[in-house]
Amino acid sequence: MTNRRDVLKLGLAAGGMAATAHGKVEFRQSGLVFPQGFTPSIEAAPSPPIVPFKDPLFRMPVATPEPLSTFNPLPDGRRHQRFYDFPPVDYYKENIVQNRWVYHTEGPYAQGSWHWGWQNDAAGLFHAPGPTYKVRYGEPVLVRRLNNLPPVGDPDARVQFALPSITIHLHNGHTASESDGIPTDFFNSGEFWDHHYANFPAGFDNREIMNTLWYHDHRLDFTAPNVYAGLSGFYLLFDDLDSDNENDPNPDAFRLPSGDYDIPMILHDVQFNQDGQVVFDFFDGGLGPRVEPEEDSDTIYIGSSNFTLFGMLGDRITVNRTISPRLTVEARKYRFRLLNGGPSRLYLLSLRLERADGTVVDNHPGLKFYVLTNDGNMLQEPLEMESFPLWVANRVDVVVDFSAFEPGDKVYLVNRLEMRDDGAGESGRLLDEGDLVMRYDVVPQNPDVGDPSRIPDFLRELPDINMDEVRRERLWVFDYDNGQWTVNGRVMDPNRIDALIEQGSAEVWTIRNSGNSWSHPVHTHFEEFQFLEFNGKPIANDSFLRSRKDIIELGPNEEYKFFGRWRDFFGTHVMHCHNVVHEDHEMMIQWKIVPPGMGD
Amino acid sequence: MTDINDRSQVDTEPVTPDTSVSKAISARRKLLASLPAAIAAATLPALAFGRAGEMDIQQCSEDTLRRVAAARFPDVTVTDHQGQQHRFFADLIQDRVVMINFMSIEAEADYPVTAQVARLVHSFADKIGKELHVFSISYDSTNDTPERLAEFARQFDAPEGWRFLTADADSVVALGLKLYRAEGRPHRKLDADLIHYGNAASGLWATVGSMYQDLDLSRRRIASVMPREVPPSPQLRQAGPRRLNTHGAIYDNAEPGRV
Ligand SMILES: [Cu+2]
Repeated sequence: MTNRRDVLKLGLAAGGMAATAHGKVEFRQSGLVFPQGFTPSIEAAPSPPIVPFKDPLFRMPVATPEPLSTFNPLPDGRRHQRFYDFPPVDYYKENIVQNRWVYHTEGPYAQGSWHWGWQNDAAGLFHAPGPTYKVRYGEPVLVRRLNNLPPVGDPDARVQFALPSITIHLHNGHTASESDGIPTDFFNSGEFWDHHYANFPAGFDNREIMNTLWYHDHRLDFTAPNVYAGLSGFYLLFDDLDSDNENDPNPDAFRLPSGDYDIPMILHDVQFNQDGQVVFDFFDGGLGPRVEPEEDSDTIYIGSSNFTLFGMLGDRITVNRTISPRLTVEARKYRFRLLNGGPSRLYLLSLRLERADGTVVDNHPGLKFYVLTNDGNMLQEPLEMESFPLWVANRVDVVVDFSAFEPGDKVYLVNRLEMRDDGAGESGRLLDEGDLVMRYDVVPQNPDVGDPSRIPDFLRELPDINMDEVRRERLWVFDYDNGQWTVNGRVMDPNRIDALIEQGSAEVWTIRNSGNSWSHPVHTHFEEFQFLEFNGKPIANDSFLRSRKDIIELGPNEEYKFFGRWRDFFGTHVMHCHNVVHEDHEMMIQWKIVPPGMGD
Repeated sequence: MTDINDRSQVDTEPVTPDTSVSKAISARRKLLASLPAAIAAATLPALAFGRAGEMDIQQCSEDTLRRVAAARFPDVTVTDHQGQQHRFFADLIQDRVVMINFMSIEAEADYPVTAQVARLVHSFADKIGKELHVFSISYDSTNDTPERLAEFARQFDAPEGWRFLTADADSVVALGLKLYRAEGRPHRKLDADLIHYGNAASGLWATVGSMYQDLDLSRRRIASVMPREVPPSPQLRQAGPRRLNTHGAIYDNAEPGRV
């Protein structure tokens, strides 16, 4: 067992802080700024107790296409850029509704929590996360999303904190603006939106092929509550190499674990009230906002003492919207696609072994990840890592080989990253024992299947970085000013375009954090980029950061420089902090792809 | 556009939790002496407490924190610009769609937040006081008396339903703490503040930047939390995307001419 308490960031150990006996950082109070010592909901009003590892991991159904004849009106190609270059081969419908979702089968949770999610017909399974898309490069699709959520003020509207006006972003599809799900492209209750996904690699360069993507709400001002309310899911892209077939006879195919052995897992930390209903940090939800005022008290609402502009933390870590689940695994290789769905919590994930006799082992050689992707993009070669960071919206595909363990062993997925109480970033410390996120129960291999999967030595080559293509450089400074989250000293204005980028050009962007206490998982839409420098130094060739990425893990006082291209479509997209509470208040800029010669 | 080598964007002395005490004190002294208006809500408690006389700031701050933590929503007594007293939550907010901002009469000249609120108020016209209630809370407890606030309200032609509120410093800070986590450094170049909007009956809360340019969009953001009825129809309306090369509001992709 590791009992060291590592200080991640030496810079944070500056004056004014003291560590208490239980390892929390205490900040000195000041009467001149709002006191730092507010009690977060996870301490003031913890979620009801649970029986950990009781419930199995939820496996999202795979999305199934529907006949075009069932679409009324028919999709209209004149609404989409390059629709006729990439005519859909499959058409999907998503029916987004409110219903009860069971996070846990004990105590008040068992009755189900009011939730947003997907349900194709009244008799069908209601579920969140949404259906997992399994689609292929070269096969464009169209997704019609129907907003059948109860409108604001409807007596049946039970998810009180979220706005039933939604926009669904495909993160990080190479998708035209009108299908990207940008914040202002929202549709209300009783409305639908058609999203066209062309499913071709950026610049028609096969080195730009992406594999693990996800979709989630992106509504202006309400992204954090709307994603938290249930609107997230996986979109998996396959190609000839990552072919969804561990028995693929193609000699070039990766033959990674596939089918039942390829499992997407989305992490959301959620807070519940005593009725087992989901609460957002500001005010109570689920039950109805009002409770009777106590005698001689001002108590009316339940919620955090702040309107939280910093972050939203929950004390129940859920995987595929199940609290502390278990998964029975055969003693063979599995591909886990780990995604941090937010809203604000950052993770550092590792594995821990508990033998059948209860002995806990932290240093077994099987306790490692073969890391395949960063942000869902194949690395050049798999990396063996004992732990990896998972910031909001990061997708890290890993292989875990359970053949290293005995049947009866229990392997835990552990989070060791401690957050600031206010949710605005890392505290700078590691948790001693960590939170047990979920448990894998090892059983013998299925002799009929065995383990035909492989971990290839080489994955995908990186696209060239050609500095001759760079038309200009830009600097984006992420900061906190006047109580607001800002980029270059400004808050998001949906009518302002902050960068006019010429189609087909490359640019070099510097992303800087001017704050020294908070972290920003910064995300830019549409195309992946490659880091050139971190804090002024080049990225080592064997680094986990040597990858195509769409998230910048911007810690306190840090600075990244990246090379990016903008190809194939025109229109407006966004870059923003993916701590979605920061995004909502209003840490976001808009950039627009324009014809050559019309850039700024 | 920002120059790649421009280091002026880097704040040399950020106020963060570990350094806030001394810097906030010196910042307050400097700014109170020179131009308090320009620092706006960033040092709301400093202003409120600073002008409340000889109170023990540390003690008051801790009391306020305790009170808010216990109260969840501070249902403090406020006085409006017509001299009437209200319980902030029970009388003014509960069950309503509201818009709230913090202001002071003195700050308005340099920092015209209330003028921006006024644009929104007038765009909602006769909905104000019925479907939408507006509260401008002064953080200058000493100077912004109900009489002065009444005169201020007249300057903006404030309709019934837009109330300018004053309260004791402790109560103002309690409201600020609940609605606006304004810990941070004053950044005089930043001409922005937040306007809160919410539906207290349902529990929907959000903010819009006060220096918004697009009145229609800001109005629509606020209207989005108002109760709405969707006519029961099996046929959903297509919100978007609109046809390529057609134009319309950025927030509504329906075909031009459609309602
Ligand atoms: Cu952030």
